Formats: sequence, C-alpha cells, structure tokens
Amino acid sequence: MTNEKLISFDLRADFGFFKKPEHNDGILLSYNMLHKPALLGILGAIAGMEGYQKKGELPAYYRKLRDMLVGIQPLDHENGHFRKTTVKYSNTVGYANEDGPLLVEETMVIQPAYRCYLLLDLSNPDHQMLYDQLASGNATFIPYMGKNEYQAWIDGNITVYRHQPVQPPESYNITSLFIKSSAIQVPESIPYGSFCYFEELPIGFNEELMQYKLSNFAFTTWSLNPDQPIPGLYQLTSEETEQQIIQLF
Amino acid sequence: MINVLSGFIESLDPAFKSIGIKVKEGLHILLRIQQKDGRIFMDNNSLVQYAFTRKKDSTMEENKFIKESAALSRLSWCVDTNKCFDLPIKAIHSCSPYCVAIKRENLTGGEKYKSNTKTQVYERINAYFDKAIALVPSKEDQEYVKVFAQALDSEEKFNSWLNLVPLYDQVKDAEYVIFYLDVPREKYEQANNQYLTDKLFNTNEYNQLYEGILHGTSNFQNGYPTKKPFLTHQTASFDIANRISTQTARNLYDFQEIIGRGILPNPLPIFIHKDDLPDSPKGHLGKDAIALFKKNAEIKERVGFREIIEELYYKHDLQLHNYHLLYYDRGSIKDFGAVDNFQYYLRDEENNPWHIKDLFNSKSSNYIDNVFELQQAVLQPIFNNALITKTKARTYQYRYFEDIDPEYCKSDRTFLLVMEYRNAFYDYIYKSIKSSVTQQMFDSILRISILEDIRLDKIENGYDKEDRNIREKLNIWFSLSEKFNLSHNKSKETMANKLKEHQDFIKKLAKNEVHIESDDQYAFAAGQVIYQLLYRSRSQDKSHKLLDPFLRHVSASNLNKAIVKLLASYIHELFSSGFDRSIAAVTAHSTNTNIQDLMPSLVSGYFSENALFSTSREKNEN
Repeated sequence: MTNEKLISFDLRADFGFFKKPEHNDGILLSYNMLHKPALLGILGAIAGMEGYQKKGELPAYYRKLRDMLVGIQPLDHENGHFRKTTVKYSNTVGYANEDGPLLVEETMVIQPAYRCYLLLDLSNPDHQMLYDQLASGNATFIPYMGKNEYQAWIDGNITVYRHQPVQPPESYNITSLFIKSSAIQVPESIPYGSFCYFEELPIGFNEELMQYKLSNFAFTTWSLNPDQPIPGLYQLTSEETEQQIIQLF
Repeated sequence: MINVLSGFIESLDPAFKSIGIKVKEGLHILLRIQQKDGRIFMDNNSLVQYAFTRKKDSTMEENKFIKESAALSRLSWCVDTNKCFDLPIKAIHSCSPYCVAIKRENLTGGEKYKSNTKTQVYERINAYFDKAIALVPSKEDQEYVKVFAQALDSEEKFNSWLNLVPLYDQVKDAEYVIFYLDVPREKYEQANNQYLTDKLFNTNEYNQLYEGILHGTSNFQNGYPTKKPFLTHQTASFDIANRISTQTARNLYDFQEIIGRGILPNPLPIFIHKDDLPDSPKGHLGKDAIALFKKNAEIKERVGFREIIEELYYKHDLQLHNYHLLYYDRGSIKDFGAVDNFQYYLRDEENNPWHIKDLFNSKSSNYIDNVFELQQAVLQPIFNNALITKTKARTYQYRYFEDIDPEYCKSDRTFLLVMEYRNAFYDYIYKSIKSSVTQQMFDSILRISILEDIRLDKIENGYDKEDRNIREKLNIWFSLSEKFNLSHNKSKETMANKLKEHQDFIKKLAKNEVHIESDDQYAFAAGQVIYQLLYRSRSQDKSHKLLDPFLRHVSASNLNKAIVKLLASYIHELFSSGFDRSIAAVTAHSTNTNIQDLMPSLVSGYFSENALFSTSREKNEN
C-alpha cells in the first residue's frame, strides 16, 4: 500500500495506572505495560477524537483507530518491569460519598516509558490527522497514562521506518512485546542478564460483553525459534536505528 | 489476576481442596428421619449423634463426627451473610435444606435473644426452609426437608432437641448450634451447587450468556457501591467493566475459602501452569510447588515462602522463573505481581557473598549469602526492628503489608522510613526487582536511621545505649552502599575504601605530613576533633547525642565556630600535638559545600578509631 507509513514515537510519564478492571475492592492493580486500548485512547486524545459519550456506544476514537496495527516496546525497564508503588488516598467530599469517606489504595507505575509503533494508512483521513498531530508535536487533548493526573508526553521526534512483513528463517529476536501463540522455548543456556517477561494484556474490547479482550504477551531478550511462527512480524529499518523485528497487532 | 488465581485452583486436586477445613466452633447435632409404616417422622430417636468442639477428651466417634461436620457445614454455608436466607436479620448462617446453623446468642437466653425487640430466630425458621427447599429438585427429598423443618420450627421444639444434649449449657454466645439432617453428602453437594449457581456473582442483574456460558459480575474483591459515585465509571458506554464465567466465579470462591484456612504460604508463589514455559527435565515447577504446599498442609505445618522457594530453587537447578506472587492478609489481597526470574544469591563483582565488614569496631562482621539473609542481617537493624521483628521464640515476623502501630516503633522517623521503603524492599527480595532499591534510597535510610540513633542516644548503666546500633548501621552503610548502585559504570571508590584512606590520612595529618585537600578529609577530621573534645566532657551525659548539634550545621564556617566554642570549654585540658595540628587544619578549612552532604564523612570520623589521643591509656579507653 503506497500510503502506508510505519512510525514510532516514545511516550513517557512520571506515573501510570492502567487499571485492571476485574476487581474494585482492596488494592487496585495496574497492568505493567501500556496496552493497545490505552494506547488508542492516548492517540485519540492527540488527534482530538471524542471519547466515551453514550451508554452502549463505543467511543469515536476506538471506532476510528481499532483496526490500526500497533506495536509497543517498553523503555528504561528492568527485565520488562517498571517500578511500582501503592498509594492510599481518601476522598471525603460529600458529593463523592453518601455513606462515608471513599478510601482507595491503588498501584502506581513509576516512570513508565514505551516506544509506540503505528502502521498508518495515510489515505485514511483519521490516520492522516493523527500523523500530522504527531509530526507537529501537537495534541488536542492532554494525553495521560491511565489517570488524568498522570500526564504523558512524547519524548523526541517521531521516527519513520522502512518496513516489510517477515517470517525469519533463522533464530531471531523481537524487540517489542508480542502475542505468543505457544510456549516459548527456553534456551539451552540462559545468557546472563537475559529475561523473558509475560503478561496477559488487553488487545481490544469484547464488544458483546463490553470488556477487555485479553491475550498472552511476552517480551524477551531470548532468541526465538523459527519453528514456532509468530504472526504479525515486521522487519524495520531506519537511518537512526539498527534493523529490528517487531510485532504489530 | 483472577485468571491466574482461577487457574491455580483448577490445578489443585480435590483432596488438597479439603485439607484444613475448619470446623465451626460449637455444638454439632445430627438428626435422622425415622420411617414406619410408610410414614416419615422425627422423634427422640432421631437424635443420632452430637459433638461439642470444645469438649476435652472427645471420643474417636465424636472426633470423626466433628470432622464430617466440618465438611457438611462447608457445603451448607452462605457465601456471605448478605446472601443468607434470613435477610435482613442474618441470624441463620447456613444456606442448605439439610442444615440449620445459628449462633447461641440468638437462642433462648442468649444476649441477642434478650435484647431482641423484633422477631426471634425461631419464628423465621419456616421462612428459611421455604427458600432452602427450592435447592432440592426431587419431591421425595423435599418431603424429607419438610419433616426436618417441622422438627425445628418453634422455640419449644428447638429447645427440646437441645435438652437432649447435656453439653448445650457449655456453648458460649459466640459459638454455633448446628443441626444436620442425616442424608448422604452428595445431597449436600447438590444443594450447595444449586445455591452457588445463583449466589456466586455479586449480583444477578448483569448476568449474560456468552458463548453458551453464563457470565456475571465477580464477587471476588468486588462491590458495586451505589453510594460511591467515584467508583462508578460515569461516562463509559458499559455498566459493568468485567464479567466472569460461572466456573471462574466458583474457582475464586474456592480460592478465597482456601486461603482463609491458612494452609498456604504467604506470600504465595503461583506458577503459571498453562504453557508460558514448557516443563523442564526436572519436572514442572507448578506441580512441584503444589506438591510441597500439600505435603506441608497435610502435616499441618504452614511452610514459609523461603523454604518453598529454596527447595524449588535447588531442585530446578536454580532456574526459578515465571511465577506470580500473591500477598494476602486475612483474606484481603495486599499485593500481586509477576516474577520472571528469581535471583536468590547476593554476589559482588568477584562472585563473593556480600560482606558487612567490621569497619567501626562493633566486634562483628557478617556475610550475606542470599536475599532472605538480607532481611535479618540488614533490614532488621536499619529499620530498628519495626519491619522485621525477632520474636521471643526466635522466629521472625515480617511486616511488609501489615498495619504498623507507630507507638511500637523506635521513633516517628523509624515509622516513616518503614512505611516509605518497605514496599521497595519487598519487590527487591521477593520479586527480584533490583531497581526497586536504589543506592540513593539506601543511603537516605541509613543517614536518617543513624542520625536518629545519635539523637536518641543516652547513657544507661554507664554505656551509650545506641552505640552498638550506630556502629552496626555504619558497618552496613559503608560496606553495602555500592551494592545498590546498578549503574554499569560504577566507580571503584567505595565508602569502605574512602574510610580506610581517611583513617590513614588523619594519622598523617596528626604528624603534620599532609594537609586537608578535600571537603571529605575536612569532615572526617572534624569528626575526629569533635570526638576528642566531647571525650573531655566532665558532665554526666557524655552520650553521642552531644554530636547532634554539630550535625545540624549547614555551613563549614558555622561548624568551625561551634568547634572553636567547644574547644574554649576545654582549653585547660592537655591535648596531643596531633590534635592541635588537626583542629588547626579543620578550623582553617573553608568550603561552600553543605555540611549535610558531608555527614557520612563527619560521622565516620567521629565513630572511627580516634587517631588524636596522646597516650595509649587514652587510646585504650576510647
């Protein structure tokens, strides 16, 4: 497709909270990684697309961007993890509580940072608008990492890559998070300092139940075996960075 | 999280799930329906067995019945009292057609019975059975339940059964009186499954069939408080953020119940069972872990996290990775996180265990081999026993998530230190997140902790109360600070090396062989000089607390003035020539560096062996 453009930008924040919606009592937990629905929300804010407006209706940004392929790579992490802490706070204003103070204990991800890859189709006006905003460093609404007090910013310029789908014939490394379809083969000798990180993350919405649709992700420095093909792999090259393989999903 | 916990429960065998079921304290009574001439009824012969949990020297028969009662009451209990059949009073805690469980306090003569101004529990037994009978599908069983209900449906009938049990008088108000109907356990299970189908979800309002399976709102750590608008998504297109299947709900219910029995370690490592990583030739980590849990649960020994991890760690050739770690406290989840690769050993660049050297004459040095030893050797002293507490039984208590009462901490600063940093150390030790504790954090903890000890020091029985603590903390600080520096370009100059250099330097300074060339040398020499001066004090209080005012200065000029002022008090004393040279060099030094930044050197100068004494007798006294 001639109008395809694969770009990346680095997204950072002081704090993040990507809430796991499965419980609301006791400590509220956060995903460690930025996930696709959260990234689409951030992109929607940058492009000035509408968010949630009406019961039973998906927000405009999600409808416009859900089919866009993205890739996510954590930055400045420790073996895939970001530092976390918990914060307790109370809200005692009357309009927030009819039956006593609201006490909340939730996780904070400290200094989350991710490289976000987008495969844009510039013939799509929504993608074009998003690209223009990113290229010019503008955002219509303030992007944030999960909570609007955890504001996010784009660190540096966007990078444009030459890209092509790939199925490597030999062992290879993936620099981004990827959805794994089967068990990852443990290397015969695990290199010192290497790691393999797993997390079940949302990839979109189950629109019937209106809740996150989850997939099992991995992020590793281990070399992967070509006998276990992983879908959605792209080989990227650019003037600034070394050749690399990422997964877009 | 819920998928991991649900998967964990599915990996447990039924025998494991029944280990450690606790019997409800109180009186357990078994009634059997009689049959005669095709008629079913209950009479005095229906009381076939009873047992009281607090009875001493129970017979084998009674013990067997109590064990069976524990299993039956588990199958008869309400999910929570909001889902019992006796709403809104909530006095009958069973939810089964074959069981009635009431606390003694609600029965004749009980505290609640006496103070009750509304209906007594006996008047509600029929209403209870009206709901419970709906859990029984067959007509025949329903007839049995009706007879059981009729036998208990008034105060007189209820008490007449209890009058047949001599031990009833000993039942306390907080204990239960539980009647069971003698039917096979399968009947209890069927009724329980029927009850749970309806009650496992938080509410049935949002139940939805999806792919042929009922999905509803989770009751696990979940509530839908309508009086807390901030907990409700105000603009979302959906009402419920997450639904779970009936099977997942059941698993989570079982999980909650099992962790409540206290048979699992805490923190609890949960290995991913599905296929994230294949089995190793040494076996499956998850299966091995569960076998260990089970082995210890069966012998009623609650095995610690450390013992489990160490056993697995060695069995699997030190390749211990990919598990989730759950920390719970009284059924409430305090922390849940993933561990990719557990790092057990603590090693320096030369692959040696960490070494706490005796740099400050505390007469002790220590090697720290692994992360668990770090807790006792380092965390216990630096947090003044508030985070890791050694009990009288010589065991350790860990308070990573429990409430800590500031009243039982050494000082308010200690309390704040623990609250601020305990989570970071938990991540460091239990999840191997090495970046969670930085050198800056470690230095800050030791700085504050040592300054606090200096401030709190006093003379007791002729000795400095905090002297040993301070020296121990200085040893830890100077020996380990760089271990928390994860940078790849670490300076080879360590606090311990610098201390040695300073100790050599002060000897040369005393002999006038060198001059002060750096602020660190100045601060170290100032510490030595202050010690010399305070040593001359004739006052009763010669504690290290006297150092505190000097540590509060910001500028070197003010510190020098304070030293000169102190010297004026002891000008009549005979000092060594080394001291004279040193104090001259110290007071002549000027710098814009904040004295607070030089605190480690100043304190180390004060607590190091003092090189400025004139006689060996003085040295020995030092």
